[in-house]
Formats: sequence, C-alpha cells, structure tokens
Amino acid sequence: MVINKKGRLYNIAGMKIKICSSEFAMFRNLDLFVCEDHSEIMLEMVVKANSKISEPVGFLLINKDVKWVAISEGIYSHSLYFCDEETKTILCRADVNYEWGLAEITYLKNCPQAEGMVAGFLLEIIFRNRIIFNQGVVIHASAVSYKGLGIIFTAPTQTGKSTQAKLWAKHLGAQVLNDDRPVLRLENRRTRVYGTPWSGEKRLFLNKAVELNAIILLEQAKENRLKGLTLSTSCAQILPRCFLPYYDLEIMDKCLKTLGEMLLGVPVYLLECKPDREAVDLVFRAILNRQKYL
Amino acid sequence: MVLIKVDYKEKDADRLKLKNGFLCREVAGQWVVVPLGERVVEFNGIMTLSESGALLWRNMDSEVDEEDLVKLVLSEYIIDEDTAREDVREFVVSLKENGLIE
Repeated sequence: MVINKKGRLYNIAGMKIKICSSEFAMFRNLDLFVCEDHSEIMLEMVVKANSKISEPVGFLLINKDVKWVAISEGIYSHSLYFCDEETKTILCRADVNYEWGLAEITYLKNCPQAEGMVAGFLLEIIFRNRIIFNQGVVIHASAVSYKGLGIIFTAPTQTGKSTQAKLWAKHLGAQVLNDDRPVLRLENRRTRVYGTPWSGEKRLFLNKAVELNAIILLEQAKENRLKGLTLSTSCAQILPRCFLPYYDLEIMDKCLKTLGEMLLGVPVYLLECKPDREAVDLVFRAILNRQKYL
Repeated sequence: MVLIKVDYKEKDADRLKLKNGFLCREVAGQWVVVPLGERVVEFNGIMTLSESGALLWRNMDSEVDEEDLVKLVLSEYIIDEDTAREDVREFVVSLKENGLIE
C-alpha cells in the first residue's frame, strides 16, 4: 500500500486509526476522536477519489445495500461496495485484508453521497470488524455513563433503549456515550464500554469510556420490575444484539470468546419497564447494591 | 435372519449428519450454535443447546445413527437406557424439524 497522502489519526474506542486522504471534510463526524499519538496504529486506511470505480471480482457473500465480495487473490480478502441501483454506478468501494487492519477506499469523485458513505457506513463496517481482533464487539444498545458506572440498555428495535438512556440523562444527569451502537472491550479481564462516532440518525455520542457495570435487557410492561438473569438465559438474548462476524468461522470464534469472558464478569438484568423515573431508580439501586458486595 | 436384515436396513436409512456451516461454542457456560456464511440466510438466529445437546451436536459432524448417540449419552451420563434413547430421539426430531440434518 502506498501512503503518500496526508494522514490523520483517530482514536476510536481505544483503537488507533490512521486515515490517509487528500480530503478530510468528509471525516467531520470523527472530529471528536482526533488524536496525535502515532504508536500502535491498529487500522490504516487509504482513501482516494476516482471518476470510475470498478466492480470487484470474486464470490458474492452478501447482496444487500452494501454488497460484499470475497476476493481470492492479492493482499485484500474482502471488498465492500455500494452501487446505485438506478444508474448501476458504484459510488464507493472498500478493499480490506483478512484482519481488517488495512483498507483501501475509493469513492466517486464529485459525488457528495459517496463522500458521506466513506466516513459513514464503510468506515463503520471496517471498524466494527477490526475491533473484534482487539477484544471488542459492537452491540446494538444505548450506553450511559453515570458517576463512573457504565450501563447499556439493549433490546430489539423500538423497545425503548434510547428512552431509558434519555431518562437517565434527564433524572440523574447521566451522559449518553452512544445511543445506538457502542463498543464493548475486554481490558485486563474487565469490560469497558466506549462511545463511537456512529450512533444512528440522532448522532448522540461522546468520545468517552467507562467500566461496564450492567447490561439491561428491556421489555415494555405495565409495571416496573427488575430481575437478574442467569448466564444461560442472558447469553441467548445478548448474542443476537451484537454485530457478529457471520462471514468467517475463525473470526466468529474469536468474537464469541471475547463475549463469553465479558458475560462472565458483567451482570445482566431483565428490566420490564415503563418509561418513567421509577425504572431508572430500580436499575440504579440494583447496581449500587451489587457494587457494595464486590 | 430376516429380522436382522430389516433392522440393518432401517438403521442404514437413518444415518444422521449435520449440515455444515454452523459453529457450536460454549459462551459463558451456555452452548450456542451460530450459522455461518450462506447458512445465515436460512437460519437467521442463534440456537442454544443444553450440555448434552452440545455433546450430541459435536459428535454429529460425521455420519452417526441414533444408537451411536444413545451409546455416547450412556458413556457420559448416569442415566438409564430408556431415558437416554428418549432424549436422543427428541433431540434428533428437533434437529430434523429445524432442517439441520443433511
């Protein structure tokens, strides 16, 4: 890979990323995460504009909005691209190596839509897979930090993850680390939860991290009730909420190992709840009580 | 002689082998099975297995029949043969119902 363009460094969820590009306006969403430290870069990306982007040749793994091709030759093993279905034009393409530590992104010149995709979902997909190699996993959840306590609320879409996080902010003054897709990382056998720049449409995130003290599974109910879950129950509910690497056995294995270690150390609760202050207090008291006995 | 032959044929027709493309792992003490690659389209979800279910699953990568599985259960658990046979039957039926057998 030839790196002759201007590079910038970002530290996202404790993972350093170097981006080489002649244009940085499109990376404004990452501004909170800029860093100066050149040591231990875990992901290097070269980004360039082109007037035409070729379709990658290989085996089509995923055929959704973002197409995903397995490449058998060269240093890259995967190619992701987005094609405008009407014009059949490829707007952007990312070629990445097996461990997701090297990436080459090409986007269509003079196309604002393509520029938005580079720092948006393309970089997010690369990041989400690279973090697995660094004992991390992205989970579909809303994460809050309050007085050094880290809590994530997770549930199927539309159950009220963001509502609970918002209630914590309103009643206790908690900070929302990421409203939709925070990162969990295993560090010295403890789990930390990190904010990332990708949090859905609301763009609600911080460049902060805190130790994870509880995972709260949510269910809407008429009365508030909190109960601790056994590992076997919680495991079956939490895994589907994580962005798992279904495309590769070895990477999946790595990811499940990390998640297993995390779940052994972090209590999981089921919160049947209404969107009110009582639900907040119930969780807060349970976490405080548990902290007392640690 | 005839009876033995019939038994043999029935057993032969009942060879069991799991479809490939699944990963069975213990995560925080819970056995889970996740689909991989193309299997994700057919099996969009994560299955959980009991410890004995996981033992059976991990021994079904190559062809076996129900009797092999009963023997396996009997060698690992203190359990009477009838219960073992019933458990294995139930497990195999559920695998078949979920389209997990080749």
